[in-house]
Amino acid sequence: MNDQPDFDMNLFLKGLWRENPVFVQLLGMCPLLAVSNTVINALAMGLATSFVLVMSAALISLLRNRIPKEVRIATFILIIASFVTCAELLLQAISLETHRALGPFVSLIVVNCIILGQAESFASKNGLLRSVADALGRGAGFTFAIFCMGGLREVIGSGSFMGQALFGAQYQPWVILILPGGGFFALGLLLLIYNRISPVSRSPQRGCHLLQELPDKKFGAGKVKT
Amino acid sequence: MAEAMASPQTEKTPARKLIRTLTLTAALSGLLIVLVYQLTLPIIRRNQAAALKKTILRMRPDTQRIGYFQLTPAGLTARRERQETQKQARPLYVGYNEKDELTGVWAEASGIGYQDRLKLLFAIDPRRQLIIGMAVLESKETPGLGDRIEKDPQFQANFTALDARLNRQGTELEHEIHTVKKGRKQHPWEIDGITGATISAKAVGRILNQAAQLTLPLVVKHLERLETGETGDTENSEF
Amino acid sequence: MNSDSLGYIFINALLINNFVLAYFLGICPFLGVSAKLSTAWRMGAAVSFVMLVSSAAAYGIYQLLLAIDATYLKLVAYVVVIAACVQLVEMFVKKTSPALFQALGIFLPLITTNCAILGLALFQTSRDYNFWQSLVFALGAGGGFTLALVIMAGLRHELRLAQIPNLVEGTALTLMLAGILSMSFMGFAGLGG
Repeated sequence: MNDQPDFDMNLFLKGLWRENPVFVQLLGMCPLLAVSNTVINALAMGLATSFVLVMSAALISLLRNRIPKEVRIATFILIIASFVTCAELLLQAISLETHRALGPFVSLIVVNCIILGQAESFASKNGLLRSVADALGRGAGFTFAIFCMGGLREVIGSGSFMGQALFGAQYQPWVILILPGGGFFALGLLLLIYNRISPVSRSPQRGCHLLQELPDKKFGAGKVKT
Repeated sequence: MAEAMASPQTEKTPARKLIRTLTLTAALSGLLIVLVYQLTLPIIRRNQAAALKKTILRMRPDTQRIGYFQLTPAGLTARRERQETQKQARPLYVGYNEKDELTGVWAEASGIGYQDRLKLLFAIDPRRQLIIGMAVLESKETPGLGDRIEKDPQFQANFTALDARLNRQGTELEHEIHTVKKGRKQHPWEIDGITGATISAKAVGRILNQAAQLTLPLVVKHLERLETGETGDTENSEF
Repeated sequence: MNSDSLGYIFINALLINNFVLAYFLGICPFLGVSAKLSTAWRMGAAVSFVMLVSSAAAYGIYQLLLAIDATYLKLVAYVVVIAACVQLVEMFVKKTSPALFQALGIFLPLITTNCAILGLALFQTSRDYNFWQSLVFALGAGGGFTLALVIMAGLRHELRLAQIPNLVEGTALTLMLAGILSMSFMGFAGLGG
């Protein structure tokens, strides 16, 4: 199966829903909570993360046979960090205002475990097209999740969507949802909804620290069967 | 560079190939970053300048061009628009209208607000010694409450003619600028507060006072140089 | 109080803008390692220690980058320096104090991709802190991280015997608890203002 060179639609869909990096694998929680207080911020974060994910997956899968095993993590981090710097500069060039709103969280994409996890478990073992398909899927999954968060928090928390007021002037927004505490509530709620729609087998080994604890075992892909 | 030096330490075993891979990757990523940096730098600088000009124009629409200066411990020096301010120097922006008359002097102020650091840009009319505008550059104040320092028109109205007169010696303000409870404003140097956002409103008063105490004496002292604008690099770009 | 005074920086990082509860940094260990109180203490100690070391290292690196006028390389440099720091701390602790290594050992490698550490380095740079301010900031942030982790572990400990609906069990419940905790920490805002 690893030799299959085609762009595989299944891989994309898997990342988007069935093995959604956020709802199933509980990865990338920090940016998800931190910059989802408006839809615009959430979308910018989702797209920037996807950009880094896809670019580094492509480069890593091209170089995968040339990177010695011992230094692979260091090399991956270097590659990811350079793409993050590029993403940050590009975002600054596109919209200064969004860049200011996201603050240091753009730089923190480097330590988003979705990216390192994908590099380690997939891009370093698969061909270019399959890696890109997988990265696109996971990126879309993350963007979808953070978009849901941003939508939920902005619509209820400030009564608007992308800055456009939705309800009349008499609507008293639930400010708590755009405050830090509300981020936790919104994510808890979304996890509940996801679990209701497609129950996740309760494997205790989820979250970022997986990556370090089991450096050589298979991580992420195909772990949670639904 | 730093990354090339630091990383080989982490893995020691079969040395040469590892070091070669890491060095090559570091070189590759360095190249990539420098390339993107060079490409985006002019656009970013233009965006920054445009954002600043938009804020300045909102306060004084008659401004036609902007002069760039900085206040250092040594005094007032001019600076090029694209140049960063030196360390410990505070930037100063001077607006001129069509007839090359001074429309206002803009300075930055920062301090703690309710949540975190607040960064403000305020406009000075140096001849009348008034603060004629205030904009929030950076804030993490509570949405809906604390961020009214930025959005509340009543609060913003405080800064159309806030008294910042200097004392006779010209060393500090005659009256300290401070925030009072809403509706209790009696003197032109007082800021009318916001109910429900007392701390943020008070913070603005305190931060503004601190910065005005430092900036105004120098601005007034160097007023002539600022008015002629000769030493400032006043590029008339992108207007 | 001045926003640059050491006392304010410490209180701000410890309580007002707690790294976990207000900035959402280090959420993964917060959710993953907060099941037991004893592990929470040790994880907190390990993170605080690495924070202190890497804060000093990041300060030095940034001065170097400033000197050669290449600050756009700071992210790459920080990531690599932090990774190297963690590795060095691990080797050092292993050599000098086997008992301490036993206690902290398994947590150290986890920290490399902990965003709280990188976040600390980035925040101290963007706020132009000097060397001592950076160190105090690191102490406050490490203390705040430990505090959040320990409180969370205590809460989860109390919940172990409670009757919880099946659907809510696990991360969703932990997140709700974290939300309440974050709300109560908001009460610290304005402290020192």
